[in-house]
Amino acid sequence: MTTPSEQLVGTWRLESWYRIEDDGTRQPRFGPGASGLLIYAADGFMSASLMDGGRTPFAGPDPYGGTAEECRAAMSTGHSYCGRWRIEGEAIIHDVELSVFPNWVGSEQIRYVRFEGDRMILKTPPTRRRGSTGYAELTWRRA
Amino acid sequence: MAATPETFIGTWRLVAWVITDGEGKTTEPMGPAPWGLLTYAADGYMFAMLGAEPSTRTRFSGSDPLGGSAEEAQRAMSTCHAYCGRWIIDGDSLVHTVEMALFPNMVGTQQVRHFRFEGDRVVLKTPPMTRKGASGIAELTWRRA
Repeated sequence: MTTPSEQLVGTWRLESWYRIEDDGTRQPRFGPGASGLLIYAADGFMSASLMDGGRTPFAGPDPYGGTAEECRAAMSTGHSYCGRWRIEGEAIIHDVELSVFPNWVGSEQIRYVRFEGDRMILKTPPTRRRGSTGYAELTWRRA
Repeated sequence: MAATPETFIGTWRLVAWVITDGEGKTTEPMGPAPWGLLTYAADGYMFAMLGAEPSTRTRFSGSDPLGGSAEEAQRAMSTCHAYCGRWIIDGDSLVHTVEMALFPNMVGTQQVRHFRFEGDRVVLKTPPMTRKGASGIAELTWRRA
């Protein structure tokens, strides 16, 4: 019998990321070539990285030295955060310690989890995006 | 001390980050209190996020992580970077094969970090690189989180 923690620990690769609006509209959040890695470490830390395909390199060599436009393009096609994780009922809680998106630092990101075969599906609580309410559904396979 | 995967597996917290240039001048690119987490997972994957102390960073006006303005994104990325991929030990170095990175240029590269131990800390030394406008060899000191 696998415990819920054992079912999660390890690295997961993104298979799909959909935004589902309240009116039923279902749109992929990223285009072809998107990638994602989600690590649930055995020591209680987690990290998530999500990137679109076809991202544009910066002109310079400094990750912290992009122009405003380079950074806007990079952040509209990439997201990353990390912190601790725990299971609470049907949900995984990510206690965000660091995030490139500053607003998430100190927040709890709740992800409702279900398993379908060898896939793990994480669903977010409702959020507003571009004036519309809906949720995201991210499907992962073991890396 | 011979390093095995078990020496590194787990999560590490950044203690110090110093860049030394060719003339010996030192810079702390994120100030005296940088923040960072580095995870070496048992399955061979790794993740690193390094930046400025979170309370010094400016929040976006909106709630969409992907929806910031150019100015918001530049402030965010000049104070935070993350990458992930696979890791191996090669002699007295850790090799990070980068699969994903906020900085697109790093994707597909191998980041080699020479390691040494100082008590319960590990110091990772980089080849010459530029970070936050400072160029040179960086030493990053980590302790177990």
